[in-house]
Amino acid sequence: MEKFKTAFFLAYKAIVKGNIGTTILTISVMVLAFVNLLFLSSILLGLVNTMNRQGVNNLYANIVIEPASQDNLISNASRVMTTVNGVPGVLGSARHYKIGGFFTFDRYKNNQDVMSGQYSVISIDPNKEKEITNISKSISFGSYLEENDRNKIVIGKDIAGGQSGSFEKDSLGGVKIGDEITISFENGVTRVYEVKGIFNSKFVQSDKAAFITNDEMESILGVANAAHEIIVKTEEGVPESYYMEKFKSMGIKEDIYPWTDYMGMTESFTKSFTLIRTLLSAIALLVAGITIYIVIYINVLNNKKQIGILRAIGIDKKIILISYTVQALFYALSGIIIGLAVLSFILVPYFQGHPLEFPVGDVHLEIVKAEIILSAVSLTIAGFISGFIPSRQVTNKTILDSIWG
Amino acid sequence: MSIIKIENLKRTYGTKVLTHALKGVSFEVSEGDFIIIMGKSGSGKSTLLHQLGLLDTPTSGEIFIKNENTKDLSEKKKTVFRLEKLGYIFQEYAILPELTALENVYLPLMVSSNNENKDFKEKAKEMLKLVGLEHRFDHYSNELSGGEQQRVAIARALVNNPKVLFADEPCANLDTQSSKNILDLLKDLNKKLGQTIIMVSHEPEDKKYADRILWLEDGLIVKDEKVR
Repeated sequence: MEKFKTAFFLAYKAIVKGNIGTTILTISVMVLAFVNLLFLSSILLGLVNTMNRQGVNNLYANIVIEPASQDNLISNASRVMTTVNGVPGVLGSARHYKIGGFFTFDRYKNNQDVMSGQYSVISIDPNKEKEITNISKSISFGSYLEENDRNKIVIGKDIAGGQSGSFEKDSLGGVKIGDEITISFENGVTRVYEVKGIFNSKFVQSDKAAFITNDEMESILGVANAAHEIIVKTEEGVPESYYMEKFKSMGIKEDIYPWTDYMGMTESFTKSFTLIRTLLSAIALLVAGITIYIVIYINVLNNKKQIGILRAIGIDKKIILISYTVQALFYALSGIIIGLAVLSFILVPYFQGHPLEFPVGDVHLEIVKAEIILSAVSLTIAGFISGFIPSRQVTNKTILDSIWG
Repeated sequence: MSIIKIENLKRTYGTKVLTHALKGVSFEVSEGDFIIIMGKSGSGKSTLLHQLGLLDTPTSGEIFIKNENTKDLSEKKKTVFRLEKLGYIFQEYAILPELTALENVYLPLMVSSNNENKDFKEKAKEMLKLVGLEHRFDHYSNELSGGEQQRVAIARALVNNPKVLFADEPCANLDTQSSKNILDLLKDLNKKLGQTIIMVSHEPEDKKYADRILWLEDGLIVKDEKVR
């Protein structure tokens, strides 16, 4: 106990009476090392989570019910929807028809400069859809569909074009509200639609889609009360598998999938990002460890004579070793605490106000507790090892070598 | 009564080119002696003191302190021996700059088993008073003169009531007046407290403080002179 007390006393005095510039510099390096450990992985996590949220909020909700493998459509969609809506925890459902269409836009109606492209057309019940997805909230020009709209269409910004950006060349080159576009559907039907709204969900997968009403689509397909898919929104915190089991047990014979099955892009991103994050964290940790090592090594070398004196007057090697390790841990822990404050009170609020714009949406820093704990523990261990090794090297020298070099 | 006994002590440095700093030194020290080891530069004075103070390990020979053969002591026991039975004063004022005078003095007491009542601050204050620094308890090394720093080092060396106090040219970096004060202090400690002191010096005028002078030349004692 006395040894620990003495070691802490020596460490405390070395920090308090040591060079304040060196202390600030060392702690600053630790702060940067800690922020570096979390910053990039927080952005990557924010990116993955944004992609996932966008998929859920704009396209797939939580669960997607598709026709059984032998069918093209879900027949009697209203029965399926009534069944799933009856399950406690289900917040709502919406049915979609989905069909490809060849869009043409003759801006000057002179058959010259006609822009065209192949896009996906999704039909919706506008009011029900509002409860399930965010498309209605993403209208940036014009307005959202109404239940009785028949020759109206809402298109994504990447179809409309005219706003520059990476997908401009694949767009219709600047469609405005009130413009007419002609769609030749895959089943051979061709219709003309007035653009009622242009939406910008900031999610490339939904911004390349167009929406019409289910009534309109049923007249194109010649069907009623059916769907290519029914998307189901559920309460947060309960796994999708729970509801999927419930639906099956209630006699839903159609195929049921969680939203994650539709996020193939995100899945491959997530796998790659996890690898990148691990690699970057390992490199950041190594850099932090080497930095602490260098700082403590220089500190120990500068104090070599004092270490020799301490040993000459009978202070045990262990006390000296603990004292320098405590100093290293102090630097590491200070770096962790200040780094956490920098992240929580400066960087996270800054990126809330100024999110990074990606084709999948606005990305914020997202820091999870487990990551913070892992980074803090890793840096503390790095601090411990990096403080211990150089201190041990010097304390293992003979007393006279320490004093006179 | 003999407190230190040295038998055929040798110390050789180097591996390829060998330097024989001590070539076989033998002598005994009685309790309460004030011995000065004198000799030219390179004669082996400091090397001898380092062996006696257990700061270095001799190549061969034996050192008995209070009948205990130090050769048999483990590294850990040597540390305890240095802490509790020996005091060492270096040529340079070897006090720790981040500690106050008082903290420098009570540091050895913090880990010493000698300090049973744990009132180490009071004991350290007594020691600083003894060396005339009662007005410098909270001063750091950069606020003390060379002489004062050396007094702090002496107080620290004495705080554990060592059997022997070793002083390696303690006045080498001091002005004449400060040197006199330090040597007077050491003599005083020797006279009043009966403190055994072994000091290295190359200043002829220091002889007057000694009871006995060991003259070293080329790693050997060439003269053992009783002054008193």
